[in-house]
Amino acid sequence: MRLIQSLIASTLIFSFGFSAIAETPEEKAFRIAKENEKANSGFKGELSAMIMVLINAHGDKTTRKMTNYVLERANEGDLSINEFLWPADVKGTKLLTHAFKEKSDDQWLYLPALKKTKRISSRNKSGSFMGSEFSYEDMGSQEPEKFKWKYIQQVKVNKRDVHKMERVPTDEYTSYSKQVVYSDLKYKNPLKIEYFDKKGELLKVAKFGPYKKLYKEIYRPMKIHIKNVQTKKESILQWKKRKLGAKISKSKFDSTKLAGDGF
Amino acid sequence: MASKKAIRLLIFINLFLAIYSAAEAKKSPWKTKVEGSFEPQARIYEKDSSDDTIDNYADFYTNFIFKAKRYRDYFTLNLAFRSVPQDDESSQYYAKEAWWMLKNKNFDYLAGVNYFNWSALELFHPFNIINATELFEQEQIGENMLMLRWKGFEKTASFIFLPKITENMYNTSSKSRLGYSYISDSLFVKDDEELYTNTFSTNFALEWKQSLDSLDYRLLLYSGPDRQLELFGFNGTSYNPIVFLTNSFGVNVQSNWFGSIWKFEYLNKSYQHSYSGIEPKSHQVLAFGYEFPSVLDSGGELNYLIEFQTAFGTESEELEQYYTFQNDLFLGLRYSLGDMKGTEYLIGYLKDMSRDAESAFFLEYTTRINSKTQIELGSRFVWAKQKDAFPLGLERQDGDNYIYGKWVYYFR
Repeated sequence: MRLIQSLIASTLIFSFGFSAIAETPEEKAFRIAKENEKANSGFKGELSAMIMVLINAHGDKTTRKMTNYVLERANEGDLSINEFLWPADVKGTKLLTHAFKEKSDDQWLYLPALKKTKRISSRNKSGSFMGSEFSYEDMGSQEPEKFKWKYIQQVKVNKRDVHKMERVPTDEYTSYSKQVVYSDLKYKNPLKIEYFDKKGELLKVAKFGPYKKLYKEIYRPMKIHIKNVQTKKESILQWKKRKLGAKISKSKFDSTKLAGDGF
Repeated sequence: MASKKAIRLLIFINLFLAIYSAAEAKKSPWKTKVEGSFEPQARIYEKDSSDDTIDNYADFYTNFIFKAKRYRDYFTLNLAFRSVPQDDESSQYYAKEAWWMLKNKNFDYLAGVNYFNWSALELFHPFNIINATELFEQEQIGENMLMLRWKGFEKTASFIFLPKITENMYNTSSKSRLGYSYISDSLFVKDDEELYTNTFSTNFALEWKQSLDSLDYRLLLYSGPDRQLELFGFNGTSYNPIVFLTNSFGVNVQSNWFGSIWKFEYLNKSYQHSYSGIEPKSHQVLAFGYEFPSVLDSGGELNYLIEFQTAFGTESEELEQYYTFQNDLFLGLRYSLGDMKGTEYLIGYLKDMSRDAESAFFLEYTTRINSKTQIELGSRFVWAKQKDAFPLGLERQDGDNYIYGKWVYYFR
């Protein structure tokens, strides 16, 4: 009798205890995303020099050059600014993003030929970023709170252990029905993301890497290769210089001063 | 008197800081860069009734920009050259910008010729979309100014002193139709019954600019020539634009609401002087813009554009004399292919809502040939037959229909 009682008691304790620590796939994926976010924080500022190679379905290539500055914010999304250096007709064009945890990012485009700063509408964020396969949405912040998450399983990509997770953007103007993220256990960053269009069909595949430890325990990819499987167009974003821990003035991210001084 | 004191103080501050900065900057080397563009274009106009004008011509335009930076000093020189080979009188060269700026923590001090976009309703872009440089054939050029600017994060406050009234860039002796061949130099009314050409004055502007979540706004106070309001006096052979001084204030808003871009501008204008029985009445100008973007499966983008501008507050007959766009609606469609060449089409239709049978149509195409070269093709058609002795509204552009092709080479 005592044995039965203790069996019942331990079963109850086990099942209550298990349910307290058990996670749903949604909770697990969100927890991992938050852990990754935490592992990637603390870089203070980032400055980069990049080239972007666009490849059309016929294999023709064209190159864009740009710089990127990011300022980390403690309890909000980051501030970032991209400035185009090439081709010549867009030189001096700037894309400023004020990212937020949950609400839609604020984005501005500065057009040097007109000396005008234009807001980018939320609907436009699914549009192509400078004719590339990256959209403004892809170039914006990827805060975990902006997605609904679901854990799939742990798998291997390029012989590396990754968490396979599904995320659905919560932004009403997104162009994606879902994204499947393969997040590296060590780098705490994606190795691959599959983007699905509104019809649920695979649209684009982005591959990240090689990764480099750039600051403390923070890894960053030095290349992103994205391929549109429907149009066969590709874009490669490659970092020529990427520095974390940089001291960057907040005034650089001021939308009222994008005209700057021309330097 | 008070304004003179303020001017002297501003000049003194600028000179002091220039000397101070020059001393500080001795250890720092100059960093320079040169860039610009060469923009030959061909224009074919609908033939007009005058034998004196050249209807079809080539135009060579070159823009040369030199920039230098040392320590906190910034210098910009932006020169433009224009020439039409068929027209000996057409050559023009001018400084669009020529300024020196000192940055000192939260303050900027600027002296020289610089752009002054005090309003979205300013002459060169009353409609942001149709690009009124094409409609008015005028170059966007800087104004003589001394500027003091305070900067906070996402906000700025500027005081701008504009010591000299300068003429518009009408190429008055040109026979090519790039400028108005029948329009002569601007005349300014800064005292009752007195006309001036280039003249010194004590004009100023105050501007407050701030960005909030999803909304940018500007508050403006301006005292100076109202280039948006031009009355035309006929001197027997050509028209003289007569420009009155105005005291204006207003607000300008740009916002991202419900996934679209909304623009709004309101200006209140009053006038102090009269000339030859003409005394402009106080009135208001209101402009509204809406941009609805739509991203296509092909990766391209379609932008639907609606803009409306109206003037009110006094008799509409009087306002018709002042404004080309006194009550006009613009509908446009911009199609960006989202390709590697940045190809873009723009179709626009402008309709005067209060004047009979006045409308205009625009078509533009732009694409990149290579990383340094771009081509632009376009056309403009204006339907606005002159009804009275003086052209009003879009009648001023009636018959100035053309097609053009432009080749732009950037050296940077």
